[in-house]
Amino acid sequence: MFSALLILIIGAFPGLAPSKTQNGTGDNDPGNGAVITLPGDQQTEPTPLPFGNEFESSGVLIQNVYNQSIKKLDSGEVLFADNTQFSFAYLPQTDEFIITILETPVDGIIHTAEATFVRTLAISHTEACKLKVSVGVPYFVDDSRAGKRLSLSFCE
Amino acid sequence: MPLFQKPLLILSIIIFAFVAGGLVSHATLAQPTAPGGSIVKSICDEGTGFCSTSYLDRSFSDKFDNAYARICHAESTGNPFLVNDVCISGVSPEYNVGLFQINLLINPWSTSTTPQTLRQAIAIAGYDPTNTTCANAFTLVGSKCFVADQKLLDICVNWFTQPLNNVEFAKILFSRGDWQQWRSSDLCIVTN
Repeated sequence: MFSALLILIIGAFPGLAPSKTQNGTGDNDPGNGAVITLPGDQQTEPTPLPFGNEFESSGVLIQNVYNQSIKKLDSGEVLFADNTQFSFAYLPQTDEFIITILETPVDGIIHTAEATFVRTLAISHTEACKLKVSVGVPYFVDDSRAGKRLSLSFCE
Repeated sequence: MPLFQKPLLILSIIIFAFVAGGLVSHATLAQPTAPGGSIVKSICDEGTGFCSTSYLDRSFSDKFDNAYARICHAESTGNPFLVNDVCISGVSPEYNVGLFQINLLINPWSTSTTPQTLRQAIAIAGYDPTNTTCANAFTLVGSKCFVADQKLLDICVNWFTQPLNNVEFAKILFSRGDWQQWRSSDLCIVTN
């Protein structure tokens, strides 16, 4: 009886159960018992992907990153480089490249990543500067460098 | 004291503790406010692509004043594939996935709140979705995690690397006031 009351009370205070950080563990049921249905639960149409050896991005002919795909998502995004130091992703919806730095020292890794990026796409620095490229450092890599959206360093 | 009153006393203490705890919890979640103004601090840029406001505005309301776009960018740089598996090495009890770096060790926080398509994926793979969530893919010893079920982990990682899934799940956390789920919110909170 008492246990049942306790369970009811815990269920009545949803703000108390969930962890406030992602550092803990636990089955923190908010208490409503409802299955969450997300708008994303609907299936989306697959995006047509570029084929052939090359395709055009921002007016620049680049190597087809889908031929170097490490992982593709249903919505067409492709991961075409991924190692301990950096990763490259291409987002077809916005025709945009994301370079993510994954290791310190950040400045040194950025230069390595940029050199690999232009080599992978088989383009010049001038051409690379025409592309939509965002270079970023996640918070877990370096909190002092996180939150900044950088462009390719040689484009400035 | 009569025996039948004891449970009532204990019950009262528990209720008081929870209410008090809830108040403290709420205070912790309140955003810092600059004297005389609503903007506190933000060294974070709004992201591009999936962390742009134009993409995220489909999911988030204006009341967050684009803080979600800044947090998204600070967490993942807008890279939906990003996985930070620091629990494997024991650095921290986190296995963070995707745009908002959702920690699979604690999310979804229960089987009953697992999103429907994730439940379906779990069920199709042969698991009982009423008894299985992403945390079941791990064995956690202190801060160190061991992958106990690679198949289940793959299902969860695949689900949370889909941008729309990740964003919509993050929205649920935001709507519950769980800003502190993101340590980058210290940098990127922009309104009270």
